[in-house]
Amino acid sequence: MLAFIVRRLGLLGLTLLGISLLVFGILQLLPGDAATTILGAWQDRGGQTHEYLRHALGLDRPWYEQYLGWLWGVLQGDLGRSLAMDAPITPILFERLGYSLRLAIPALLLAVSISLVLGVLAATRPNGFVDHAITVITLGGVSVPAFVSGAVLILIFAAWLGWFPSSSSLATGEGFLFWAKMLALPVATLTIEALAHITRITRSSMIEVLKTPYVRTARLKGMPRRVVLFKHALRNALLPTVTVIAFNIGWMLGGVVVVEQVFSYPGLGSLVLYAIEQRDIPLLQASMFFVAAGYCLANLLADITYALLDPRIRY
Amino acid sequence: MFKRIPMCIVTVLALALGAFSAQAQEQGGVLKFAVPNFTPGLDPARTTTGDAYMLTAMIFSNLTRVDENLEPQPQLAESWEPNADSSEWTFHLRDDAKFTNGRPVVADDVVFSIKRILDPETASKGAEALGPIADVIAPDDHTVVFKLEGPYADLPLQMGNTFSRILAKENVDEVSSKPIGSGPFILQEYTPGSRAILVRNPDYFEEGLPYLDEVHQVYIKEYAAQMSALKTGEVQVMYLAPVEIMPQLEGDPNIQVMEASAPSFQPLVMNAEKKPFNDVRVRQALRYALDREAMMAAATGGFGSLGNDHPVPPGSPFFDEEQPQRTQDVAKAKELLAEAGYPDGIDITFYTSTARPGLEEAAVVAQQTVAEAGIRIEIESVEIARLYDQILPNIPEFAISHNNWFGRPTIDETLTPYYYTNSNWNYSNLSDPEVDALLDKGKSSTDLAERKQIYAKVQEILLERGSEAIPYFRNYVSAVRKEVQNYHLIPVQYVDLREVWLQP
Repeated sequence: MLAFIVRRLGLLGLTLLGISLLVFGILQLLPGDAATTILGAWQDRGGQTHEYLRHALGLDRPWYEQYLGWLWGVLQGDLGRSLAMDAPITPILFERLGYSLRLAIPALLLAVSISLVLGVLAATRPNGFVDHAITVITLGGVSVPAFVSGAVLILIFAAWLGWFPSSSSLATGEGFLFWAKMLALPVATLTIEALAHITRITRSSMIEVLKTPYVRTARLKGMPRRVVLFKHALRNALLPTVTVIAFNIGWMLGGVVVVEQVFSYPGLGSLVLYAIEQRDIPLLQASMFFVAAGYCLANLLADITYALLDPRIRY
Repeated sequence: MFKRIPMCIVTVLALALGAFSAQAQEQGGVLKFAVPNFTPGLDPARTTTGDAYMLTAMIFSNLTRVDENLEPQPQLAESWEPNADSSEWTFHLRDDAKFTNGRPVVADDVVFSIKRILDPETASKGAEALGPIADVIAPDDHTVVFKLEGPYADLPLQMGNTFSRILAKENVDEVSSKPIGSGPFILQEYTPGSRAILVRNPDYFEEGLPYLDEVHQVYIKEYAAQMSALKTGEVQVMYLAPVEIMPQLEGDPNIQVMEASAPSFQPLVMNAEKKPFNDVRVRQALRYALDREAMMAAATGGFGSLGNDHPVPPGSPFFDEEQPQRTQDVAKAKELLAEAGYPDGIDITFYTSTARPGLEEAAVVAQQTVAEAGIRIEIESVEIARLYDQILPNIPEFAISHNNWFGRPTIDETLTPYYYTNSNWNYSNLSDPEVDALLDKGKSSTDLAERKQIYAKVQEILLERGSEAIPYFRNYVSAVRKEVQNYHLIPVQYVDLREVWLQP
């Protein structure tokens, strides 16, 4: 197992390298660079302003020098300086990561626990009323775009009822209660989106497992229904579900730009968007690193969980 | 009788006190501003958007401040005077201004800050926005002398703009994220993409100001969310209110919609160096073919004023009131096109963007209305970065582009950067020696009557043979809750919160 983990971490390193090259390459292809976004719609006819700025930002060096210079800095632990914000990247990134984690973890816990319950419920009586109801609700949740569900939640709970702030940027304070209030609506929005996926996979996986001979044996042996469901069936049904959950971890960390924008929540996704808009190469590289690392580590966790769930799986 | 005297005194006192308390500003309170953009970076050399300008205006001080009539008022400078021909200006600084790190603001700080902007290596757009400054010197700690390249009447006004903020030299490396200024507020918390929190500067040099304890600038991207926050009182000011939500705000008794006639305009830029717009008759044809009222209604929802193809707004002291408003004349447009050799009309591409309010709507209206004159427009909506980076600097043949300008405090800045041969924002490539000569003269003249005449002539030329169609000006509209007192809109979208207070 240990060797396996080490190998996978090595693969993570290679993946991150590949991603950084890809991101760098794409940014070179897009029109404009950080100097043009900083100076905006301003031409400097006969002047040198764009050149000066490019030089100050290090954008006039050949591409391999820019990339390798950056890489060397990263290997020494220095993520560099944001071109657009003109500030060191590391504190910004960790702050944003903190915000994203505070959003992703509760959303994930909520989504997983609700989904598992719903999935199992749906699987025990397939095609029954409960199953159909669950299907409709969860599919509805994933079909409605986040900016709609988010806006509706804001309207009901912030504007009409006034229970929660309508925007993260408005909430000030500290402590658990403050965070709970601030996160309630964004977490709810994310959960609604994530429910369908996990529920559906749990459901179909459970249905498969419930048909297997060993489960039938367990039932015929007279074991109580709950034991059959949770001790025997669910554990096996969880294998594909774990993959989906791992995917959702990565997505919630870096891919939820829409929710972040609707609630003005300063998370990692918004940072990536900002870096792209500003053509801010170091910032984009650094934030993509974290997002990619998030996905990879989540998948690694999923694989480890596999081994824990199923003793037959050995690495 | 002795009993009556105390009663009189009491009555008089009561009345006096009553009068005072009706007018007295309340100290304290937290003002929350909602902004639809949040551009990080507080270095005055680099800021480009209204939300950042607002923050730097609160954190830093300038030599002068631009008031709501676009006149310079004292700030760090108590007084100023030019020499005989306005080619040299001397500013006298107050002696009680301090930076938030404790040390006093002296003339050397002014010299450092201004020279930094002018330095090409700083690569700041401000280098062109301060006036023709040849040198800045500090003969003593409280006097600054600007030596100009020629007479320039508007230097004091320029010293109030967003680039001329006074920095502390020791803060230069961190000014973008941890600024040290001498303004009415101190930056306490700064989360780019979310909000900025500023607190009252207890050592601010204007006695008693500011009244507010705290100001929060809060980023809320969706206007619907901003409006919801405004209605519930979570924010008190909506900095830029779009026209679509006006009807909903106007019915609310707690909210006041404030409007300022702004010099903000959105020109249709024609490339005067390429076909077909290198022919002045074709340019004229397009300008005659436009239905200005319809475009204005579409782009501003009625919060605007008609334009006459030059950027001098009706609120400017230099606006030529005598100039007749151009109206749509389709027949004339057709005639001009035929004269120029296009009897069947022309096909052009119109580049616009959805990134700024009003652009796309105006483009659609333009397309429909000029079709009658034989000008067939195909609209291409692109990303704003592409518009600025690729299209505007080199507008293709048979194309017009859209642009979006804030407006500038001085008349010279309103015209020169756009129409002077080869200047920085002259995307239409206009090169008219008469215009150049007039602009040069207007900039250096200090006689108000003469300047008015000169700029009136410029407006006339632009109307006649200019290279841009400017159908309307957009007013600057904010929505403010009733409890906010003494908040005035400044036409160039600057925000001044020193004397604003909150009714509890």
